[in-house]
Amino acid sequence: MHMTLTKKMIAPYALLGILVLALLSVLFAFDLKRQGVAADERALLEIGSAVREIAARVQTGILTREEAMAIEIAQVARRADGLIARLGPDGEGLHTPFQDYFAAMVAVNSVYLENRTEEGAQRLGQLREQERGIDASIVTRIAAAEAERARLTTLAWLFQGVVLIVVLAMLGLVSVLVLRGVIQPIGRAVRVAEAIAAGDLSGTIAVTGNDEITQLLRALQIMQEALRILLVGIKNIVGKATRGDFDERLDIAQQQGVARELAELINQMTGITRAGLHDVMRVTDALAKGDLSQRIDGDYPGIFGQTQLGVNTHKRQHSRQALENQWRGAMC
Amino acid sequence: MRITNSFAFHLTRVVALTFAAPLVWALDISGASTVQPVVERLIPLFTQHGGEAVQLAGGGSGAGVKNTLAGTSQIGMVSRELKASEQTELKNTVIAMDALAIIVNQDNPLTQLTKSQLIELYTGKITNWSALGGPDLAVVRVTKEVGRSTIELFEHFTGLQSPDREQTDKPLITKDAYVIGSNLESLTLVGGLPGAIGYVSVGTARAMAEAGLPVKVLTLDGVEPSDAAIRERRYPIVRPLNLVYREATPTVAAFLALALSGEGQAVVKLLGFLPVGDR
Repeated sequence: MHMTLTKKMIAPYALLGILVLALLSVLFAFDLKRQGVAADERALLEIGSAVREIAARVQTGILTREEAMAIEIAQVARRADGLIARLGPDGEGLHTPFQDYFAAMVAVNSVYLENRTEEGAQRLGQLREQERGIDASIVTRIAAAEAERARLTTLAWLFQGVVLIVVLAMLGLVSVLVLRGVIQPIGRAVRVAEAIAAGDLSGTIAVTGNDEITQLLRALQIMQEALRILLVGIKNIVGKATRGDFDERLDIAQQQGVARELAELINQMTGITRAGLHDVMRVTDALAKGDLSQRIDGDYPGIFGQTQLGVNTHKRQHSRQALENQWRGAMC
Repeated sequence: MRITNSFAFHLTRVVALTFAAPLVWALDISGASTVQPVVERLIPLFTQHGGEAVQLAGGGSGAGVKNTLAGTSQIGMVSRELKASEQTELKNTVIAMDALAIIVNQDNPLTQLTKSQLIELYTGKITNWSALGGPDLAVVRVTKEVGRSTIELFEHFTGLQSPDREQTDKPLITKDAYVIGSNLESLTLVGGLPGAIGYVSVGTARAMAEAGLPVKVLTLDGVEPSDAAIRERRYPIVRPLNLVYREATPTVAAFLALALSGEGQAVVKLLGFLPVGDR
């Protein structure tokens, strides 16, 4: 898979981030579950408290014979029923026993309010068994909830340890991935650039992938190839020039930018040198054969111009001397 | 954990107080729990006006008729029309009009019921309030014990029958319903259990709801049990509140006169019943 350098750097951290988020979500779920169990424990305690409160209020109602006590009993029961409903669809098996107990307590209250005291006393006795049943049931469920909370706490600690190890391992893996995907290719590019800077254009630059480092290596490869072609050309043209051959030219089609300008100037230099030397050779050959008609034309700069001026001046002096000699010979 | 640490202590006190009460009464009144709160408030007025000590007990309309016929009570409280057989042996004075209210817990969003829905709820066909567009909550039915006029009215209206009666071809009220005695018991149970439904005296229901009991009265077949609807008998379950007696002794006559007086009818109105002067 081809990835840009940015993606290569971001991807491992993104993966690490996702992993950490996933692990945190699991921890959060653990915590929610623990909170739920703790809430159930609180609810169970409150239900137990409500059961005691109902019993106390019924007794107060019997003693005070106030109908208003029924309102308080109903409010307490309503709160307890809501708490039981929170424990689950069946309120952990407490729903029906609580309703039966509440109904029985209310019945006792009403029986006393109707002055059916003997019946009321009988029913009160029967209620003790129901109370004990609910009480035992609540105690058992609270113990189970405490055990569950302790188990979840232990699991949460273990999981936190695992999370720490996994995160550390992932950090190591991310470092390796970044090292292999980013640092190592950068080091390779640095070594290539240093070799070129040191004048070594013979190295082979391996280019694979399409990230920014690959693009840099590809640019270095092109630059190395262009420099090599230019230097080989210059070496060839200079070598031939030293052997008096100024006919060689650099191929400017393979060059670009500064290299192309340099190649054009070198071609221009060898061209001017060749043309100048050719003109000097032509005029001196003619002079040697006594032909004074030849001269160097054109517009040569610098030392070539001075040579042109010297040769042409020398040729004019020879021509004038020859004319004087011819005139003197005619006069004699 | 102990549920009631001093439960036995309180129980002993209750029993002791009960047996320490006066043993001789000039007037013994017993019967319907619906009428009981009215009589309970009339007793102090009766003694203030020179009346003698009164013993009051509930037990239902059936008990009121039975005790009066047996002579153990001088006045019986009956919250229904008197049967033909009873009319031959007992005299009666209607002191108020009442209706049977269908009540649910205040948390229940339901506001009305039809007769057929009421029947389906009490036969156990509907077990969850969600079937009637309410919350996902199991229906807890509260019915009354046989001998109470309230259940007789309910049975008459719905065509159902208590499973505690001798079996006929009538459909039965489901056996898992809580069977209670007094109106207060029914109201407390419905107020304490969000999924509960019950039927009680509308006067008692109104009075207790106003006092803060978390119950509400439903509209039945589109009619609210208002005073006007009861008076005009548009509400489907209306009943008279009677005081029955065998002999109008001076004490009995004085008590009946008090019940029909302005003071007595004010008590009737205060408790949410329809005074007979308004009929």
